[in-house]
Amino acid sequence: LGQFLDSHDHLSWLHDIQMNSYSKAHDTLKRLAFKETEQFSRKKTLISLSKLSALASDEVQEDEIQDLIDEQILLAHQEALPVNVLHSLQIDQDTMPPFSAMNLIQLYCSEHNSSSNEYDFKKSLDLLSYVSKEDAEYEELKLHIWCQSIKKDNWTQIQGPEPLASCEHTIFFRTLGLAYDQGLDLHEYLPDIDTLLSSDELGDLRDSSHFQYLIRAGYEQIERVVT
Amino acid sequence: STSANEAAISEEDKQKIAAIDWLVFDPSQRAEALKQSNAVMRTFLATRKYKACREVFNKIPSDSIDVITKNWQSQAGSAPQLPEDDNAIREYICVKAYLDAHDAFNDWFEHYHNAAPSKPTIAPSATFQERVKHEHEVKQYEQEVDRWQYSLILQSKTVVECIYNVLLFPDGGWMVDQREEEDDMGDSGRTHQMMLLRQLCIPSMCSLLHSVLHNTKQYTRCIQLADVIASEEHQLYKVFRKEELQRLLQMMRESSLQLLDDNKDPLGY
Repeated sequence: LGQFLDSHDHLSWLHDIQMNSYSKAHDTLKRLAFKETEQFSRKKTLISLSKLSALASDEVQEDEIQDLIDEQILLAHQEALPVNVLHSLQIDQDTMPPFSAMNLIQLYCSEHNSSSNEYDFKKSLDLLSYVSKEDAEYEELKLHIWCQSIKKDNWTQIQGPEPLASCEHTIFFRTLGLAYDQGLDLHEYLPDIDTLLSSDELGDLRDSSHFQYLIRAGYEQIERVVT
Repeated sequence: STSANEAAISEEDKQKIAAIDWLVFDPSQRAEALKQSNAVMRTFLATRKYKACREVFNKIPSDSIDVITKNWQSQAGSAPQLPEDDNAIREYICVKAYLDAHDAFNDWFEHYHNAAPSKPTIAPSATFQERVKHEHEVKQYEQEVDRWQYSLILQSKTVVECIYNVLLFPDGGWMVDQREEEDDMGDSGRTHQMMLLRQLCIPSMCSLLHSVLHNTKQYTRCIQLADVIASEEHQLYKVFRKEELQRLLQMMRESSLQLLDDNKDPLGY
């Protein structure tokens, strides 16, 4: 029976539990969870069962459980997606598939997330840790997050005697502040200034010397704080 | 007797319960009375004396939270309440949530096992008259079963809700203080007892919840209980011992087999 079930992952964990082979059940459930692409809630439950099996076993290593916790955090980010984003894309929470970290970043930063604030952008930066740095999209995503945060504000209207002080209220600088406060390595997560300022995503803003000045001044300030 | 193995109340327990009357007598001492009552209830919960615990609880006047707040305001104005008073109030609400869940489970259990209507029987040698009578009884029985099932569904809903009130107790969880006390009270035993109560009560609540869901054929929800226990937000899994997790997984396996019987996948899809 065991042999037959080995080729039937989706049932074999039930047998493993019956046989008190919790580490085997953990393995199978984990494999099933990572293969699951159709149903968010099924993936979540497979991860949960795998974690409980791991904790019930004497053999499973700490880092294996940590893998599952990382996956749970990713799933929690998906569960926390704002309702209006799901609505505007006609995603049904009950039947949605599990999204990749990359997809989640795109959703959190998208124009559909009309009420997004520094917390959404900070979440996106957290999600970036799920994307491999070797991935071709990694740098692009990083740039995307910051460009989208910049586009939340109307920079040409920031005038007055102390334009730098007014900048502090922009989503871009609030995201920076939040990331700094929560101990994110800004050298790693902040794009190079020239790359940022010449990004296509910024559109006409690129040509505004006023905007360029504000961002450069802001970067200098950060540089002083960080180093 | 009820399912959730109730321990007997001793003479000494009765004295402890009776003493609560004196504690709550003077409203100006209500904060202290609540702390003492909480301590007594903790011991009763730890020894599975739920009736005794309920008796103590019922002796605490229901306006006590209000009384404590007003006493403090008349003494200290708008200064924030003492951490130990806040913690005592929160603990009292935790105990209430637990007792409510326990009572709801016992009601459900009683209804499920003892209030089920029994099927009328008939001898093969019955006369025509007896057969007519029997047919009538069968119809009545079917109506009673409908009624019984309907109220079973309602009671299941209540008990599931009450148990979730314990499991998902807000802001840090059931029997977890929200404010740090200055440890000059020599009351670090209290924190330890509360931690032990979590280890005792949360796994048992989960297994009661599973039995309600399983017996009312809500197998998918049985399996999804894994999500609640494994969640990083509530971290309930941390209060389970290995053997308890193993037993839990065995119970979930039973639910999963039922789902397979219903031609679904093991998680109910």
